[in-house]
Amino acid sequence: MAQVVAGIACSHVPMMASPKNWDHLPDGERTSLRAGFDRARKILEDSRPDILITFADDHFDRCFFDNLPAFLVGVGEETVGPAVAGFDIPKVRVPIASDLARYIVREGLEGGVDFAFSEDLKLDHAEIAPMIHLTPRWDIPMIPIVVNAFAPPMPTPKRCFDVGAFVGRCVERWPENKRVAFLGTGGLSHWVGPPQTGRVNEEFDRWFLERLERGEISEVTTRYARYEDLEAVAGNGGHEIRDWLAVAGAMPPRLHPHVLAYEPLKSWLTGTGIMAWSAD
Amino acid sequence: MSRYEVDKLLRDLRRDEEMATHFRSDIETVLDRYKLDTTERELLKTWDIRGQAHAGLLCNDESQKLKPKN
Repeated sequence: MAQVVAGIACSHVPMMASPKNWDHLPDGERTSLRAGFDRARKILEDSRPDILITFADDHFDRCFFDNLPAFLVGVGEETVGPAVAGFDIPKVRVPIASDLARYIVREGLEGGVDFAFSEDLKLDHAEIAPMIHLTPRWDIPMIPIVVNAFAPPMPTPKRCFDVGAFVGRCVERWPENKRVAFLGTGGLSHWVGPPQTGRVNEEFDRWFLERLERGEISEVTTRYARYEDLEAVAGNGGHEIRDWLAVAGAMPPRLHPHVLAYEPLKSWLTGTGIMAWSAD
Repeated sequence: MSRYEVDKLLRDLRRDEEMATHFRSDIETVLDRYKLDTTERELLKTWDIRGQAHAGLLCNDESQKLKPKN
């Protein structure tokens, strides 16, 4: 049987893709986040994953209001990105673990999660920007799962946790001897576009990280069950914590959560965090 | 309000550099391609970001880049 071996959740600020944007950060923030990504990459490498499943959202580069699924699974042979050029995001090409991807979709449709799927799903900065720091060789077959954490109406935070849990169970009953890691990207608090653009709610971010670290997921999903309540404290970008919750759901009890870094990064307009689930 | 049409316009502008250039120089012609009401046209022509947000229109993170030069 396949086995879930690690989980990472982190922010996916597009600026993190370019070295020059790191150079512009204050020393303390740069050091903290670099150390956090280094630790996350080490945890991933030490877990020796054969497959990486990502939960990340779209930014109208892959989906739009003409066709906007809640959960979209890439099932083709490979994926490329970025779907739309910009922010110095490099071009990448990554194989998809198609057998497991199709298994998850089928299990979902037969078991209560109506996944959409795509034979030609591309990546955007949500995956590429953090993966530059986490899987820089781009050699781990992945399964990109796009969560609508961008355009309302969205699946609730609890639904995202539950779908993550469903995917985690799918992996562990998949009859192949493979090691599978998860990566969720987005958040934490940030406002992009509205008049509050640039605000970061450090208090919310630290509260959220603490809830995940303590496994108190229901406090998050209950308090922020309504879209408006989460948007008020975490901004329109804060909805991306759904991607973190999906990873939290996928984690078996033998993997323990720990926060690796957090900085209320006003220069990148985002509360930027990194977290891992590992056996240590 | 036809929010979908506004979002579609903003998305198309972001993805199509040629259209974005045209938008900056001849905004009326570009706006004519979309089913916009008078208020939406005015908010877009004046690039009133705060007004657009208050009208519930903006769901796009790239809007500042597209500001027309009128």
